[in-house]
Amino acid sequence: MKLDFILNGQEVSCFIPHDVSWKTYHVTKHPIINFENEGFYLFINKTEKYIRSLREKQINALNCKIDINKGKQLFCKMCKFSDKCVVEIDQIIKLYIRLIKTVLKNDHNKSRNAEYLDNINNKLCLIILNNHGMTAIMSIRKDKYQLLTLYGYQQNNTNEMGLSFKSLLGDKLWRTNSNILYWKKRFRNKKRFSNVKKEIPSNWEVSW
Amino acid sequence: MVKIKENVFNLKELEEAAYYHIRTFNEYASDFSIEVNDYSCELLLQQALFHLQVFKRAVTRFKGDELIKINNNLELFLKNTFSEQKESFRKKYSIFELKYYSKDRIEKLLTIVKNKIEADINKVNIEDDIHLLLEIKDGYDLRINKSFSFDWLTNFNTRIFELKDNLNRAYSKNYFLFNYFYESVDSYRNAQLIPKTEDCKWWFTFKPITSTLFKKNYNEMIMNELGQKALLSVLSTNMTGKLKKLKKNLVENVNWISEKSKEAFSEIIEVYKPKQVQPVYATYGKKEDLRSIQEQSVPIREDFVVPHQLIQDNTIINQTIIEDLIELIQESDEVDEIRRKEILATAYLIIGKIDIALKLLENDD
Repeated sequence: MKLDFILNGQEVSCFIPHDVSWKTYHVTKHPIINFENEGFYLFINKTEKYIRSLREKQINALNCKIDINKGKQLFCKMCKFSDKCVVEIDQIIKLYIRLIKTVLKNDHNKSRNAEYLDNINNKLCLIILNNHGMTAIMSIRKDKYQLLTLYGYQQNNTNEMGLSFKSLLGDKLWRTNSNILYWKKRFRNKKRFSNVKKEIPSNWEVSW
Repeated sequence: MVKIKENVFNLKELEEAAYYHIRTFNEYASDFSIEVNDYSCELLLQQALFHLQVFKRAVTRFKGDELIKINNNLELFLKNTFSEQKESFRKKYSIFELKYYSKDRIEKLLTIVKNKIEADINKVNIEDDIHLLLEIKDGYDLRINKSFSFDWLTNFNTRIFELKDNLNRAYSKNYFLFNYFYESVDSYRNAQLIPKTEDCKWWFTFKPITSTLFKKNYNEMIMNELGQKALLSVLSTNMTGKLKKLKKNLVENVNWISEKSKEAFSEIIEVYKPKQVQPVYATYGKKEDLRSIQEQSVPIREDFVVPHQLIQDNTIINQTIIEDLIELIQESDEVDEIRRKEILATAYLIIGKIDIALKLLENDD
């Protein structure tokens, strides 16, 4: 699927993968398993109960054993139930892709993107951080943009504590600012990331 | 020149992170709509303290009164917000802080990392987990370090100091793991502008290792853990009658011995480590398949047998090392007399001298 959007004043095209395993893997990993943690519940108009029931169907009816701590897209590629899975989670896939479109199309309103070279994966990439802590990552090859993933900021450093952080998780500004600080910290790793070009630099500062 | 520019840039970002967390904590601290079982405010205080202490430490690498002034202003802002908090908040924060830096939590996180390694996940995709483990270690060390602490914090939640031994043990036991993730340690150290000083020497002890060496060390660690478990199990089984009273603090006492006398303990644990069952080949004269032997060199738990009667006949332990250990316990000023007797009795029990262990405990009565 081709999606046109404005990037730093110029119209560019981004290709969203249409293969089944990309859809099932990313949608299961982000808006289904991490519905609350990554803040998808703030954008996707579905209840936690509905999302939980979808996950239960994947596990019970489709024998889904993906463990997001160990998971790779290959897992979905090799799954013999992926065609059924893609039908089962179709509504969430559509909402996930709609969210991708919104993040990309809205960037020009208050640009907060960065181009960088990922030295370890040897990839030229572009990230767009939206106003609610979502990150869209694309690879760039010969001026062509290919979407790799979209995910929400995760409060990972407390995951296994078994405590509630409801107020923070529901705070869109906190998600945005934490995501900005997270990426700035990542970019301080000069061995991994080089040629980082942030646009617009002032939009990369935390706001109130 | 590029490096100086880069460091100044990093310092600016550390200041931004400190200010952001202090200000957000300040906003949340006056929000009375937060539910009682919600720990958002506590997490923000922990993050505010951590980022402020990171900034305070980073500032020591630079000269200039302006930086000291910025640091003091940030500290004053946090101190004022903190002092306005009620006793109930302080109590809730103490619970949170003890959980945040608990050994159980660190071990859970280490298991996640090890599972990811076993699942062959790319090292790059484990970096966030390693950074979290490093951040916990860094946060704890800063929290208890007088050079980077604040006078208004010194007497607050002093139970935090009790976690030190367990926390250090968890990290030193997995020392090789951090060597394996050397690049992540290096990037964390640089991003946080950790200075090369006595206080921060831990950060500069790592060296990159290959995955083969990592696997060897990893297996060695599993063997040591199995050895320690076998030792505890044998000791526990043999603790009957008067010796029963040693059971209560057995794990702590064995840990004390392992920490204080690494040489003696590795000698002891060698005896208790499970012995691998030698493979028996059905056909003689057949050319060895080197690849399959290499595969067999990676131990699996089912391949081992654990001897249960070691306690009676473990005279193979080097006696000089044991004498040094006994001397170390007798001379240590870190433990009181009751604990000393317990550790000594445990040590004698480990080497099979049940009569001496009993005598020590009888004197106690």
